[in-house]
Parts: sequence; structure tokens; C-alpha cells
Amino acid sequence: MTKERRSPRAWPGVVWRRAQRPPVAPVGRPDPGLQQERTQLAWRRSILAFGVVAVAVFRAAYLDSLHIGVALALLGAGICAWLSLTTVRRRRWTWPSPREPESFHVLRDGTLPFLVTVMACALAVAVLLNAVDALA
Amino acid sequence: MSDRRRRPSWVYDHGVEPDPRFSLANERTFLAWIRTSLALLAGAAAVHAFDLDVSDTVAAWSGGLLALGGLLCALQAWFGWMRTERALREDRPLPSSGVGAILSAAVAVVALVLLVVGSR
Repeated sequence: MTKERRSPRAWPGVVWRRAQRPPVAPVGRPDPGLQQERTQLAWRRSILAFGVVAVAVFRAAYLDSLHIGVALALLGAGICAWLSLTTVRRRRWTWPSPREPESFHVLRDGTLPFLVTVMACALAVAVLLNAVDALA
Repeated sequence: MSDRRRRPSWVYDHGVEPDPRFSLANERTFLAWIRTSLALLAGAAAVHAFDLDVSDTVAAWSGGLLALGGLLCALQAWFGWMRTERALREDRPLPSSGVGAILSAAVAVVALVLLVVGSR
């Protein structure tokens, strides 16, 4: 009786086992461009950038004791933290796309882009005031 | 889906729902503009915070110009998003913008000034 040789262990096991499973029926149209994931990552990068810039502006303003700059930077940082939390709750800002509801979630409306723009403008005004104060 | 009115009505009261892939791409472009704005603001804060070998006036003008560029980018992000979303909904050619040229000129001027004045 010949002993059946086991095939070499495929690694990583999680991927291999998943690949060998019978395919499940696709929920919606496939998305080889990974649009949803790329968009989600773009939001995360942007939130991270907001945090970094808010801290940088705060430090620059704090060192110069410019009160309005400090206030605006703190406001930006606070809204940034709030936005991070709410963005995680995706359903608040997005909804299933009316055209392909089973595959994609798109922005519900323009509220979130508008809020982000206001935050960026607030930071820009804080930096601008800092520069004007340095000139005066 | 709720029946809540979608804002801004300037965008959503026109045309039909576009391909969601296009909407997501437009969203990412919006975020790219926002990140460009943040990068300019970080540059402005850095010019101000770091002890560069330039006079306070030059540093303040450079920081101010970069901050103005950041403000312009943020506004372009919002208005560009709106115009593109509407064009997608109406199946029209996508709009272009001249902000990129202005921005490039502003960054080039700041870089040149800092290089020339800083190397003296």
C-alpha cells in the first residue's frame, strides 16, 4: 500500500483555503478596480493629513501666542476627531448607489465634502492670519 | 434609502444618477485636492516655524502665499467636485480648471525666493 503524499503546504493558509472553496454567488457586479477600497483609503489618508496639519498649525500658532490661530487650529483638530469618528460610521454619510445598490456605496449628498472644505478653509485662514501677524 | 433632499440642489436637481465608479473617482479627486491644500498649509506652517536663513518679511510673505494657495486648493476641491458631479449626471464632458497653473506659479515663486534669498 503506497502512502499518499500530501501536497506541500500552501502558504498563507487563509488565502489558500479560501481559494479552494466553491465560489459563492456574487452579490453584485464584480469591481476589479477596487473603487470602494481605494476611496475608503483616500478618506483615511486625508483624515490623517488633517490631523498632522492641525497639530503643525497649532504648534506654530501656540509658539507665537496668536490666540485666534490657536482657536481655529483647535477647532480644526476637534472637527477632525469628530469627522474621523463619524466617517467610520459609513452609513451616516453614504448610501447604496441607486444604480448598483448591491455593489457600491456612494456619497449620500454633498454635506461631507462641504464640511471637509470648511475645515480646510478654516486651517488655511488660521495659517494666513499667522503670516499676516508676523508681517505686522 | 431615505427621501431626504440631496444637497447641493445645484448638483442633484439635474440629470440622472451616474455610474457609481465615476462618482467614487470624483470623490477621490476631491480628496486629492484637499490633501494638496493641506500639504501647502503644512509648507506654510513649516516656513513660519522653522528657523530658515531668511528675513522675517520673506518668511511671512512665503508662508502667506502658500496659505493662499492652500485656500485656493480647498475651494477648488469643493467647486470642482460640484461641477464634475453635475457634468457626470448630465453626461457632459468634464470641466477643466485653471487653478493648477496658478498653483504651480505660486509654488515656483515661493521656491525660487526661498532658494535665492536663503543661499545669500
